[in-house]
Amino acid sequence: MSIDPLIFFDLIAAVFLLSLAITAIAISYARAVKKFNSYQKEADLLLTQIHKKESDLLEDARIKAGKIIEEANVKAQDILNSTNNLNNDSKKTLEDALEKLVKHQAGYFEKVSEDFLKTYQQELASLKEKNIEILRNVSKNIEEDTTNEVKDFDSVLEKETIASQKIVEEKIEQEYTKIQKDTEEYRSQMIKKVDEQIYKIIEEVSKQVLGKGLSLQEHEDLVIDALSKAKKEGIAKYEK
Amino acid sequence: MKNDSLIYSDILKSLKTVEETEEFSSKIDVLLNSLFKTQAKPLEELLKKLLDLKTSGIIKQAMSVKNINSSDHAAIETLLNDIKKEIQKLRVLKLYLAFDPTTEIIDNIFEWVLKNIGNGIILDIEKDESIIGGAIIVFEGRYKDLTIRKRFEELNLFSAKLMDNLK
Repeated sequence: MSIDPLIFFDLIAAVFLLSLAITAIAISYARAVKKFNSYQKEADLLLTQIHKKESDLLEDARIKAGKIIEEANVKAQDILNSTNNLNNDSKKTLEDALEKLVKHQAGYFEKVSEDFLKTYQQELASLKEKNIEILRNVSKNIEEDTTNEVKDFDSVLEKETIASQKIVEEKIEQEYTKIQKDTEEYRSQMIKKVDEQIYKIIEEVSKQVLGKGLSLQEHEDLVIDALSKAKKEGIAKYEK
Repeated sequence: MKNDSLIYSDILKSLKTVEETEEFSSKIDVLLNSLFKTQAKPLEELLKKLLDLKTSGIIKQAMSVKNINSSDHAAIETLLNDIKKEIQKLRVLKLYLAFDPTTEIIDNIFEWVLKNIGNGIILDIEKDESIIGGAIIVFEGRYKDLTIRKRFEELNLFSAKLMDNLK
C-alpha cells in the first residue's frame, strides 16, 4: 500500500505546525513561570519588609507603652505618698479630737453613771421593799388559800371516802342478797325437782300396786261411786 | 195398747252396750234383706237362722204387741225400720275403766244408769289401765274425770303447795 504524497506532506506539515505550536506554548509557559517566580520573589521581599515594619512598629509601641506605664506608676506613687501624708495628718488630728472627746465623755458618763447608779440603787431598794411586802402578802394569801384548800380537800375526801365506802358496802350488800337469792332459788328448784321425783316414784309405785291390788268388785264399786259423784255434779239428770 | 215408744223401749232395754246395739242393728238389716227375696222363707225360719234366741224373742214380742202376722212382711218391714229409728235415738254414755268388766258388771252398771239417769242410754266402755281405778265419764258433751289417777295428781299438787308453804 502506498500513501499519497500529498497527504503525507500534509501530515508532515501538520506535525510540523503542531510542534511549532507546542514549542511556542512551551516557551511562553517558561516565560510565564519565570515571571511568576520573579513576582513571587518580589512578593516575598515585600512581605518580609512588611513583617519587619510591623515588628518595628510593635516594638516602638511596646517601648512607648512601657514608658507611659512607668510614668503613670511614678505619678501614682507620688499621689499615694501624698495621700499617706494627708492620712497621717488627718489621723493625728482625728486621734487628738477623739481623745478629747473621749475624755470629756468619760467624765460625763462617769457622772451620769454615778447618778444613775444612785437612782437605781434607791429604786432597787424601794422595789425590794415593795416586793418583800407583796411576797409577804402573797405568802399569807397562799397560806390561807392552801389551808382552806386543804380543809376543803379533807372534807371532800372524807365525804367521798365515806360515800365510796357506802357505795361499796351497798354493792356488797346487793351482791350478797343476789347471791343469797340465787342460792335460795337454786335450792328451791333442787328441792322441787327432788320432790317431783319422789312424788313420781310414789305415784308410779302406788299405781302399779293399787292397780294390780284392786279386785273386780272393788273396781265395780269405784265405778258406781264415780257415776254417783258425776250425777251429783250434774253430768246428767234423771229422765224417765 | 201400749204406746209405741214404750214397746220399743222395752225392746231396747235388752241393748246395753254399743257393740250389742251395732250387732243387733246389723242383724235387723240382714233380716230386712231376707224378707223380700224371691223365695223368701217363712219368718219363723228366718228368725231362727239369722238371729239369736234373745233377738228373735224381742222381735216376736214386738210383733205380738203390735198384732203383726208373720206372713205380713210389709208390716214386719215397717216394724223393723221403726226399731232401727229408735236405735238411732239411743244416747251413748262413754266410760273409761281401768279393767275389763264382766257381763255381770256391765249389767250392774247398766242397771244403775237405767235407775238413776233413765232409759234410752247405752254404754260405750273402753279400757285404760293408767286411770288405776274409778272412771272417766263422758255423756252428752260433758266430761268428768273421777279416777284414782286424778286423785293422785291432786294429791301431788297439794303436797307441792304444802312444801312450798313450809319452805
